[in-house]
Amino acid sequence: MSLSVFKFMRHTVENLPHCKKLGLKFTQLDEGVGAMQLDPKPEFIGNTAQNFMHSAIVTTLLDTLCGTVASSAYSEGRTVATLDLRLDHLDRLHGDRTLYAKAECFHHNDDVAYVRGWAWQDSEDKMVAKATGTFMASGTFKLQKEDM
Amino acid sequence: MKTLFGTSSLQDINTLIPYAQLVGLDISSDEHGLLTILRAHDDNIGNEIIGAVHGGVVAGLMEHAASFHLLDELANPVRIPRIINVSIDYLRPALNKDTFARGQVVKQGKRVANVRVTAWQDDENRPVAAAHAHFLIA
Repeated sequence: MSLSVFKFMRHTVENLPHCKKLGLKFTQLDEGVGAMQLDPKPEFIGNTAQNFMHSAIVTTLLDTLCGTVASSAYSEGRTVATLDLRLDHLDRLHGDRTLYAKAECFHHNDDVAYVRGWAWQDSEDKMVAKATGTFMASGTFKLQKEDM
Repeated sequence: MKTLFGTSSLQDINTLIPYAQLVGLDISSDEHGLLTILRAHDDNIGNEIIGAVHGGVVAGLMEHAASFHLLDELANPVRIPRIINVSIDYLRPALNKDTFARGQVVKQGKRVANVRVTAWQDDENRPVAAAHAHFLIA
């Protein structure tokens, strides 16, 4: 797949209304692998007494990243629909620290892509969440002329 | 709840949660009990082609609903339930309209509770998502 396809995917996903609202940014996207980061915002808090982010924040980060990595696993670039997503919430999410995530598509066939992802705040070996997602591949990723 | 949160209602607690306000999560009730509602919100869109709510926000509704339904059913909670894991099945696209979720505590043990949640939009019999989650409750 050409580099411009990955660039187009990054741009498209980062500009989806909810991704834009949260401030989700890619730091890497290649064939079947990717990384994202999310800087903290006061609106992400779910536990005000202890200043922890809501678990849904890391779920959204990993859902976005795993879905995009599933798309990028297909050489022609396919749109995908999430079948299921399983999240292990391993540790508290500190409300004032950046979240980082990586994901890889560990298997895909014509119909289904299987992706695992993980997130951390301080260092990659201290994960705060782990995700496994299954995605149905549908249409080809629509590449517009101006994005080539 | 009564001891953990004083006289505050679940609705009061919910309004103090910044994330709930960010995406538009309300706690309500109907004749069958507690209802968690994700309000239609243009900022929640995650698929512009079909105008569907971001899967992460749907997951947020499921996690939020599970913890509130658990709080509602716990006779005497000693701590805020802490999520251990959650598994979400996406059954239909959630379009940009109000989404409703209802939870059911399948098993409440001494330390762990297992909760199921179903979410729908127009018809409770046509769910958009189903989830099950484990929470640490003590």
